[in-house]
Amino acid sequence: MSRRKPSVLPTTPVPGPKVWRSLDEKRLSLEEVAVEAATEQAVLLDAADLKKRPAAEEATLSRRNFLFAGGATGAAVSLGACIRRPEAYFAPYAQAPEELTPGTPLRFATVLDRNGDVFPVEVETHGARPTKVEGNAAHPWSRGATNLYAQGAVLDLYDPDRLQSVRSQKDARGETGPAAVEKAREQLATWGIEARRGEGRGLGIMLPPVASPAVVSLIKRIKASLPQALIVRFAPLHDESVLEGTKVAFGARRRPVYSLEEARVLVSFGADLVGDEWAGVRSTKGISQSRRLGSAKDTPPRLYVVESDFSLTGAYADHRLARSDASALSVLLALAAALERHLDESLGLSEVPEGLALDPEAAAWVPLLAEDLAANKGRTLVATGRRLPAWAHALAARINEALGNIGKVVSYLGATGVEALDEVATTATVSKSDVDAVKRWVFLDTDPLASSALGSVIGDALNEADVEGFALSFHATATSEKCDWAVPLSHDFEAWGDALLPDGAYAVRQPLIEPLWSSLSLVEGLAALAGVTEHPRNIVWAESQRLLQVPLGGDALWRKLLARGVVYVPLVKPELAVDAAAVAKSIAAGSAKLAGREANGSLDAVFVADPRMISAQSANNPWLLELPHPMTKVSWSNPVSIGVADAQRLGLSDGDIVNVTRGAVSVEAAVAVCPGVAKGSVALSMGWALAPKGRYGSGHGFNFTPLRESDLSWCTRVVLEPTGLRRKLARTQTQNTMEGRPIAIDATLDEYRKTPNFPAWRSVEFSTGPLWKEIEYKGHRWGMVIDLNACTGCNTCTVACQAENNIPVVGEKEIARGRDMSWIRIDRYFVGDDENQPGVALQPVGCQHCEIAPCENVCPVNATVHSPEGTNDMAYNRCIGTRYCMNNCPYKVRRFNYLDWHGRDAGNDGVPETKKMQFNPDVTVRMRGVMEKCSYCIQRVEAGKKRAKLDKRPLADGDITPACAQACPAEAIVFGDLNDPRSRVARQAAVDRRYKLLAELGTKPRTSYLGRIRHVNPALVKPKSQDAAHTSRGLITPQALKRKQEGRA
Amino acid sequence: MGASYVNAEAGETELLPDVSSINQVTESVCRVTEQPAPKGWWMLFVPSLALLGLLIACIGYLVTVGTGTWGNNSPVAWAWDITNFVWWIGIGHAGTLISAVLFLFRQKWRTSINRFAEAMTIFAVMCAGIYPALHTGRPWFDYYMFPLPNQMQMWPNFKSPLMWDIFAVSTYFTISLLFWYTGLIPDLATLRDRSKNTFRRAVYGFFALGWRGSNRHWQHYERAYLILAAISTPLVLSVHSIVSFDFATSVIYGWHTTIFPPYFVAGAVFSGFALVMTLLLVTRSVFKLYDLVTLKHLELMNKFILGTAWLVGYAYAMEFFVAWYSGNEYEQFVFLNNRLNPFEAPYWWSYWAMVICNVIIPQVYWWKRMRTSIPVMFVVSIFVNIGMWFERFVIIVTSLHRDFLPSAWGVFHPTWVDICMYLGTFGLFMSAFLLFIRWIPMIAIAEVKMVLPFAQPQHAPAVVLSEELQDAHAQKTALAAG
Repeated sequence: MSRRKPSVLPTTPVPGPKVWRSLDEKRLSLEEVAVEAATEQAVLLDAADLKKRPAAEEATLSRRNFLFAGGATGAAVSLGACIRRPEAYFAPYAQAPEELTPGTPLRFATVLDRNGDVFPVEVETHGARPTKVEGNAAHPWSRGATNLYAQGAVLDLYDPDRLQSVRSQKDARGETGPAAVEKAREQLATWGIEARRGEGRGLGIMLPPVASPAVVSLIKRIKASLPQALIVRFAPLHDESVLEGTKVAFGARRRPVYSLEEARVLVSFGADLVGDEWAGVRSTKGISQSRRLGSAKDTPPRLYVVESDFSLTGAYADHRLARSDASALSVLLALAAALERHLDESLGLSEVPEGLALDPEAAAWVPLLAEDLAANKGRTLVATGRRLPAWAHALAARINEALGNIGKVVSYLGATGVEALDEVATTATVSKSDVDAVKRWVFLDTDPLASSALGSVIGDALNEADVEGFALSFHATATSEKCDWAVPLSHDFEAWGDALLPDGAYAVRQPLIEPLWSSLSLVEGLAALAGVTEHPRNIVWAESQRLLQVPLGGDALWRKLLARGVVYVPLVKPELAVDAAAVAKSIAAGSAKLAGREANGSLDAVFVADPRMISAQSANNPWLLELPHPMTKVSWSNPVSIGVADAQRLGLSDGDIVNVTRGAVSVEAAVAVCPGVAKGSVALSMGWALAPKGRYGSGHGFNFTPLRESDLSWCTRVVLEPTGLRRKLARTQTQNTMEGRPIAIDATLDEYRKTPNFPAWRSVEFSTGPLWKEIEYKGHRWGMVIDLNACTGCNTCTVACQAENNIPVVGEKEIARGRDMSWIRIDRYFVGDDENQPGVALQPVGCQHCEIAPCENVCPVNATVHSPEGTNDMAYNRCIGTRYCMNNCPYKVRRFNYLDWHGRDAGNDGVPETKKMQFNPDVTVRMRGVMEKCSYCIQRVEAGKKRAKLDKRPLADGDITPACAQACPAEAIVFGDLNDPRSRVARQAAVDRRYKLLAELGTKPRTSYLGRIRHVNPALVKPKSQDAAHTSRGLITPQALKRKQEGRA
Repeated sequence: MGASYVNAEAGETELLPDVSSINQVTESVCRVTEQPAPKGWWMLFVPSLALLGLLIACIGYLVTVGTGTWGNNSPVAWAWDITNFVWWIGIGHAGTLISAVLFLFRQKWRTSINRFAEAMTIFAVMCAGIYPALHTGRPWFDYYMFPLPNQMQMWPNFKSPLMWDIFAVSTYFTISLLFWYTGLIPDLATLRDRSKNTFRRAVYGFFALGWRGSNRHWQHYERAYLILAAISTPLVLSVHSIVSFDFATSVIYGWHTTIFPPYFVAGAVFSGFALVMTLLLVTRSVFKLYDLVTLKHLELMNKFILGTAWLVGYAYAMEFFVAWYSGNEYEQFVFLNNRLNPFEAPYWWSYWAMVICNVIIPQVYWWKRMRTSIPVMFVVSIFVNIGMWFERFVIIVTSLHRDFLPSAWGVFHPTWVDICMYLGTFGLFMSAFLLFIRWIPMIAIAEVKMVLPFAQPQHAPAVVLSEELQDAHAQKTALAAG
């Protein structure tokens, strides 16, 4: 806007008027003109003097100035109101890198390692951003499947609240950048050098028990040069008792490696085989293989579980006995005693004290179990969970040996990694004086202050003026806050490393992305301490060469190893004979303690792994935080799980806040009533509230660590005192029973054999003919079959789907309102009459892709329509959000963006930039007001078709796998073309126990289910409640039918 | 009007016994628009305007932040929004019924209340329209629902009952507005003729469309009115039938039932009459219209309320019968558990509130004393309105919150936006309504005059009819003399 100058009169006197109206006027004397001009000038001078005038007079504003000022203000306001987008520039490739086609993702093999539990993975990267984790199909422990931890790992990488800067003094501001990290590395190196002068005295190193040979070599090097240094391995969820037990049995720390596909009868004592137990994916793969029955002729294995909490394995079991961990030990001993008689072989129970009485139900179990095990010698398994003491593991090994299972169903193979090192102490063996001797602490990826029973001792030590601390930490943790140095830890996707499994499967970890923030990896940290200056890549390279015993001279072999991600290295085959005498001694010592226990009104609190928070790195991971617990269905929290009987006895109900007290220590936590938690026990799940500064994790969940007596203690006596406060639990499912409806349909094996198509009798197909000519699907006809007998309910599909499809998180408040967004959810129903020991029916439910979809005809804008291949597609751009489709969906699988979920980001303002990097560019990020739902991963379908077309070949079965099916460790979800008779899905759809959910509505869903088969032991089924014990109102048995008829009559 | 003076029987003169002259009608109706508003009007108008402001604020918040500001969730994707929509639409029905159906049935008593009820229809449909327009997640794309040719080649889905809704409601609104306006024309002309200032005369004159009361005008007018009445009559049935299709055509039990169209229509008439009653009682006393709206009118309306109460009660019972007779466990669960069972269902109280308000309370009208007691009818009309709101809430929310898969069950809780928006629609309704009674003849002057005995041909023109008729009479006399 140009400002016109106000017309200023000339300041010099003019000779005369140029314009005149009359002759008189023209005749005006020059003097008069001069006088007039002088007056004008005086006015102008006054105007120039304005500033000197009093303010009151300024108020007179000329019209011109007013308009000028008003216009300027208006312009400024409207400019300010415009959203000025931040300037960003594309940096086009001057020379495009090879192998990189924009829009085509690349996949790299790498390996994740959570405290020694190894997950070989393949990571999809878009434009060098890791976006999705898949299992490494080449790795026999994964075969392409993953678990929750692996699925969530990619979001951990982009966690906006990771430790991002190096802090070299307490309370100092952090510095970012490579120089700061270099300084930290130098500091570690200096500590290493200085420690070497005193043989390492005064230096303490704490690290997680990773299974990395490179780390092991570095520790050995450090120990060699610093023999007096205190090196401690620490993980809150550890398998020390397993390792100790196998050490008793075999003389060395061994890992039981299961091949469950071989097993016919399995007995688990608190071992969450298909859940969070070590190598859970491998075990799930194994057991599900024999549970995916092709026909009624197949026999599934029979799984007995004795446990105190309600684990996934408990839900998977054919028979489950809910007993406290102590009672489980009594059952184990009684079973061993019964087996001694069956096998006519001593299992070393001679010195077991008398008086370990069993309750009648458990006592009835034992002989039947023993009979079952003895009858299937060589094809059975007795598994003991990490919570049981070492002697129980030793006894289990002895039983397995006596049953001839070793080498077939279970192999006890030498532990690898840090946990195999004798020179490394555990937090349980470290005493206060050991801690006091340490003047310099190096915490590598460990947070003892928040998650170790030793935490308070170490915390006190760090308070001393002469004790220095150095924390290499993923988040700002309780420990890193207390240390002088807090240095960011690299994520596994940013670092070099490796992992070795006991059977010799060796995987190399390669970085997939430059560290988002300058950081150090575990290997780099240890190398600095050891005085090794080599690049971590070279350290790993050297380690690979050593293990493979092949010179990796050329680049080709190394690249091949990196590309494949896994190779088998020759390991010494360990001796598999159990030292029976040592086992007997250990049993005698251990069981003696068992006899002295008594209850005094308190409860057994067992510390259990939370399947969602397996790694502390996930403590701020919104996908996993929002994921409901598989049994309690509580999201965003880990309340104390308590059984129905105890809750009634204590007058507790869902959401009550209690003080969980052990002696002087007390933790305030909410309570969730979970049918099936053993009477007298409460389950405290670990791993929550470990990222105090995380925007997602902080303020959610409870940290029960203070209640732990030592890190070896898995069970303690606590008292629950109601505080009178309540808190609404954010549950994704509030109804626990099926209400007698044919939903998750099951039968016993006998019933199945009598009526192989039993589910079709319950979920009856719509029998009225069509009113109009039905569409024929001549090309592809996509469909999905979900085998309920294989599904463990682990929720991995839910998170995999979330990662693949850019599904937002909504936050605790919105979950409590019933606005969860998961496209595939696991429905959990309790079945049976006994509230204290119910069965469980699990059912993954996503969009069923009905051929006659009720959602489609009600949409006024055609936003949800059928594709020629029969999938029910969403056109997000068209959707205006009437939600009519959601109402009319009988399966309630449609999800609505009630608010701008991504923008809100679970209650935070705006999506963090790093989190945006995870988005899958092949899938739309939905805005608010739009309906969304499972698409059968249509982007993968189209990509698979495109690939086949480019390769000029017909689409083969298996070319397309949706994220859920790919992630499923139980291979319960099968997807494919129903029109291709040889496809896996078509064969699954032909299995006799197939049914369609709510078939009677006539929606003709494309997803169908295979009914669950409970391989019950007929002797264990009470005839009185045969149908009730297994299926509640969920199954028509002769008894149930009879009762029903009687009831009607 | 043709309907009015065909049967000039003795019975009809009793309709308005306190009206002693034709001019009295003109006076008492026009007076309201010509004199300063009474205190009572202001006492109602100011809070109404405040509520209207609340509505506008809520709408602003809703559109800016999202549908999630309401309490809707999964499985209850529709809750107060559609409840309020159906409720308001239902209220509108009385207007059309009174003006069109009763007109066709020659119910002369309707003339005192039809204008009033028609206005109510229009404002109620306006309130109702807010909800379907704003319940969408992206209301700025609502136009996708209109069949507008566009470059994106998008076309609405005519199979969707929501589409039928759009046509049904917009047709209904248009016809109601036309019908109302057509009826207004002679009265607007009266106001024009009585105007004492130019502005007033210009405005009323503009809307009176040059009405001169000539014979030809009257003939055209009555023909138009009759045609519009004939068009409106099926709309009374169609609109709420179509609204009920939103539910009846779905697969959700509690919605999926064939009884819905007549059930909804009966309910709509029921609630509409109740709201007419509530408003009429207030207006009648504020503007002292006792001679035009007599106790006889009110009693007749109460009889209607009693009749429709039985109709909805029958429908409620029928739903249970069908649920039992169908043998469908899901349907039985919806009725026996979700609605009836106070021990298991979280919304049992809403069902019982509905039954008590809609079926039990109107039974007091079996007694004439109750039918003719002003306080009783005021209270009952309020109860019926509450009950009918609960009916829609019961149908929508209790059917949705526990449907097929128990895993997906959930409970809906309204938020403050839900509540404020509902209150806000009252602000819109009342503001519009109060402006209407203040500036527009709220009773159909011309029509009322036609049912007066003096208007009948057998009456000697002892009483001066109206100015127009007076002129006509003078002309006639002059002609006869000439």
